[in-house]
Amino acid sequence: MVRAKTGNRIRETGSDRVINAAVLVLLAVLFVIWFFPMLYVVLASVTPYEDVVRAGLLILPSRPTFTAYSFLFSSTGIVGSFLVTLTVTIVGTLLSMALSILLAFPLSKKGLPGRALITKLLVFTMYFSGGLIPTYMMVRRLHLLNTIWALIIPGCVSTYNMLLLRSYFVSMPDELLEAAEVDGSGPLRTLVQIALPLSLPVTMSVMLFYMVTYWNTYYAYYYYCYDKSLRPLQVVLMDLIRSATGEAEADEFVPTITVQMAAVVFSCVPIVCVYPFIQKYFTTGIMLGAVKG
Amino acid sequence: MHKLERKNGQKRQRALRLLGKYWPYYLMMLSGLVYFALLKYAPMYGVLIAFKDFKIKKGIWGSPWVGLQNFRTFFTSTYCSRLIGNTLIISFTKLVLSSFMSVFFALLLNECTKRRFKRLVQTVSYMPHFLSWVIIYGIVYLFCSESAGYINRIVRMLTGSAIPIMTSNTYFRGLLYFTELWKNTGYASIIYMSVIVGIDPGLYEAATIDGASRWQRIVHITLPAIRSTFIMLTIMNISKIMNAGFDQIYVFYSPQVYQTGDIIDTYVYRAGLEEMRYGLSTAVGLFKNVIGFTLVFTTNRIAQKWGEGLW
Repeated sequence: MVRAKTGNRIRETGSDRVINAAVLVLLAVLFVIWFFPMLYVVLASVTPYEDVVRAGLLILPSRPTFTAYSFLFSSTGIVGSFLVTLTVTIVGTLLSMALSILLAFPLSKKGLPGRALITKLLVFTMYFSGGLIPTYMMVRRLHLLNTIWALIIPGCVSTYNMLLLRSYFVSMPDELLEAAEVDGSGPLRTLVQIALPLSLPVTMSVMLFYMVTYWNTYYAYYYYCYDKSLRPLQVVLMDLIRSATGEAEADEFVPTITVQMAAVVFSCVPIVCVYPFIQKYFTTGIMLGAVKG
Repeated sequence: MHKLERKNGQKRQRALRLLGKYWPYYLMMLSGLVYFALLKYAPMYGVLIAFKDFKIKKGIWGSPWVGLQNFRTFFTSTYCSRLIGNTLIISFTKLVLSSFMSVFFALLLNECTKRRFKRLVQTVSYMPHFLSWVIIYGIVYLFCSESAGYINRIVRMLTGSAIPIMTSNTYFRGLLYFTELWKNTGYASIIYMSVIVGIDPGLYEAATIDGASRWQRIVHITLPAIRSTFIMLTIMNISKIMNAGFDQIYVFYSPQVYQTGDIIDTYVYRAGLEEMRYGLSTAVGLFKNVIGFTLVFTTNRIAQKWGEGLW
């Protein structure tokens, strides 16, 4: 690529310059389309309500205020739902990672009898499922309905993520793992001390995928729960936004658009915080996934 | 006789030896396998509900058989063609738009000579993929709501009245397509970027020496290099054509836009958990699943002819 670019500079023709300019303009437009809405949400959340409604094309919070946030935390029940989602995310991610790794590692072991059959059975569930009602009946029979576990367990192992881990373990050199076992290390120790540290990029991206999925928990509440104290963050956020569109229960207050945007920003915070750290890993994850389908 | 017994004995010994060597691995898998048995395979037995007049008190087996009654109810209902039509139109349009947009975006990034700007655009473009549909709905609300929405403020200045973007059948699908692209284009382009990065720089160099213009290099080197990835991904996406995006539509839709936005999955949810018509809901879900599975199976065959299987 670098060499190609120097070649470029030597023979930069008129049409090349046109392409360069067009590329920059198009990318700039896309950048604005992606970035402006996110920026605008943040601005709207710290601007007094009257200014947001009256504003022209740009909001410049000349007198930034955090009243929307203080209102959000004091009178919307969002703090409780934050704790529900936090619990679901932490417990769920740990459980998901444990189950997925404990499936992926043995299934990467080439000599394991039944390995191909088990893998096929697991892959089958990606393409065929009992469906909503049968799964609901099962969750009901396991007495998970209307408990916090109903938000975690039904989707706790993603076959796709498990296959990502497995294909990474498969690609590890056999000699390395076997050498460890010759030295008397049991399979669990080999996994924890050798396989996992070596597969950090894929483990991290799978962890990110699980964390984001749990953080965005939404439907599971409508499927399996009705208790208001179990409402995850996304559900409360949705209620806040919907309440202004006429679907609120009569006794509820009507939140202003600034409060709604404060809630949106608040719900993004953890993802935005984690994002820069994991960004370098998840491209690896996607490429692996692409290879393995 | 002796020979056979000895053979059996050897087999048993071999099995024991294998078990002795591998039992810790089976033990590791146990928890995960129990999960799959209980929450993935056991519900498959529950598809019997589709052929029953299901009553929770009587259980799946105890409820009376009704044959294909539930399927008949669905196929003769007025919803049927609307649901199937909406599902196919929405998912097919999404498939086409997002395939081409992600290739286009990857090409743009690759042709960008300003490195830091490129990095910045990439970072921003991946971000929306990790935001939930509820959050994106919130952002859309800020821009499209009739009372205080950004777009409607402009529209009102120009025309004097606002457009009901979120609740009108005219705009609903457009809104779905736009938000889908906004959320996933950046992320979907990563795979094409990874293919493009792997192209031998010597190819570009040789083409430049031979006098190929920038445009010719894109058309004759970059595009052919990503062609097989593009075809593979398209085949895989076709197998998911019955999924028009429940996650997104369930958040975005409202009764006003059922006409253009109600899909099979949203109907399965409403019929099953809101109207408690368990048999009907399961039958519709099963219908969708069987078609989906057939598609996966067929497309996998096609993909294998291309040299790579899905599993």
